[in-house]
Amino acid sequence: MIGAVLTGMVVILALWGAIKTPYDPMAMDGAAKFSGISLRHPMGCDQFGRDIFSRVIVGVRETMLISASVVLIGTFFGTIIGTITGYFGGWLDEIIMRLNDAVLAFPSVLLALVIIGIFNSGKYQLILALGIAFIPSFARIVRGEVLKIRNLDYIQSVKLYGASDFRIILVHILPNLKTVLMSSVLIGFNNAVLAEAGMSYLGMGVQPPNPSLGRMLSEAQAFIFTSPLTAIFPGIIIVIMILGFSLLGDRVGKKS
Amino acid sequence: MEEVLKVEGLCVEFKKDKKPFLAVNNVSFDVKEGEIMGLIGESGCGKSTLSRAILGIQKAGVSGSVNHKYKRPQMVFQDPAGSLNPSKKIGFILEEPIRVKGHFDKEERQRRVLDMMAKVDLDPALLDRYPHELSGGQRQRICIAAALMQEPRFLIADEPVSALDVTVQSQILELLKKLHQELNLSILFITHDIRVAYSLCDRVMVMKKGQIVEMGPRDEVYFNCKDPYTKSLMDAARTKYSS
Repeated sequence: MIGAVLTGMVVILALWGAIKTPYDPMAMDGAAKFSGISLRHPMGCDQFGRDIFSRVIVGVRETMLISASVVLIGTFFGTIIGTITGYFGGWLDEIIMRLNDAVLAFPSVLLALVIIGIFNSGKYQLILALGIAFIPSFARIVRGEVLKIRNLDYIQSVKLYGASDFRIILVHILPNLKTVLMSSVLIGFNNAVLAEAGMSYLGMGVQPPNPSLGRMLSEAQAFIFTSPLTAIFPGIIIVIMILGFSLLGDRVGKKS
Repeated sequence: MEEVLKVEGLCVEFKKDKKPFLAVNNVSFDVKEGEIMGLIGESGCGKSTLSRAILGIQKAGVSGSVNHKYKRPQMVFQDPAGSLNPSKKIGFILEEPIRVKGHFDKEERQRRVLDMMAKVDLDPALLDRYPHELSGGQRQRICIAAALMQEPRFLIADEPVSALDVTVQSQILELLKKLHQELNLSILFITHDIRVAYSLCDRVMVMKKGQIVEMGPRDEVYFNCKDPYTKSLMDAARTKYSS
């Protein structure tokens, strides 16, 4: 319940950002530099006099879009790989899963750094890099579930009817993965939010002057003692976002 | 009378801790047209492995010969919860066997599904439900119905009633008996329950540690068996149910 409320808040914030922001998040105002909380600037202004509230709204949207794309890539390819290896087994399973283990052995942020090192930094490169880094964990989860399902009696029955492997996977296995996928997507989304913030903080993701939550934290670092507001609000939003999705993920996990 | 199934010298070998282990050891038997053959044995004796080998679900480590007279024998499994796809409606599940075969159009398929629901004495309204919304007995009826959709002449029933309440058990047994007569269906009926086997089967065989130790007409095995293991089983069953 709390999870849903927190998540709802963040989503509304992100949607709001898509339609209208109080100020242009990129507009600088020399007079308002480092100004504190006021009615005109509810979260204050940063070192260039840009409205932090507007930047947070746009940043949330940016972070969510990136995280969602990352999870989408991870889930899509992870499901394909996990289903094929889990269902067919044998040497194919052995080869792919050992490769998977090799990728899984690297911390995902490090892996993403390497990929960005190859492709250059930027928003789309970040999505691609984190997406690839996220595939193995999804593949592993899906494979485990498919292994369990494929030995159930109803799959055996369908085999006896003479159904093709393709049909068995598509019609009889994939729909039954949804509970497992649901909770791992929510947890994965969390990790993606953190990873995005971390990568942008390192300057590998969203490029200035565009805001993202991690980007804002990274820029605030230099002024954290003189003007803490620049770091506090993006930080709080990240915490709310992660907390919301964790609680939601826990709930979905418990229900199934 | 002809055999619908002829099994000769069937062995299934598993590797257990690198030591070979014969789950099914040199089994030979047949099932005749229109007959219910009982396979009795305690859990872990290799009954289910035998049935899987006969159907070709189990392939690794199988040797010996299995001959089917008809194509596509079907199977009814023990646990009615695990043998129905939880994310599909009953109507879809029943249609699947003939949809896969692809011989009929949509209308004909639906007609056949409705026919089958009548045959297993179920309300057609259940077609819109999901498996978890049904009782254990209803689910087992659906499993039987689904197994019969392709009109097989030979059915393997692996402990179809042992997960059910006693009252529901007898209803399902009655249903199997009825279908057996109406459709001239041959059945290999696998059970650990001697009383159930006695009430349903024409012939029975007893399995112990992967081997068939006794085989013959029902009454002969029940009252007049030679094998000491079978004898102890039968004595136990008689005293248990007569007291």
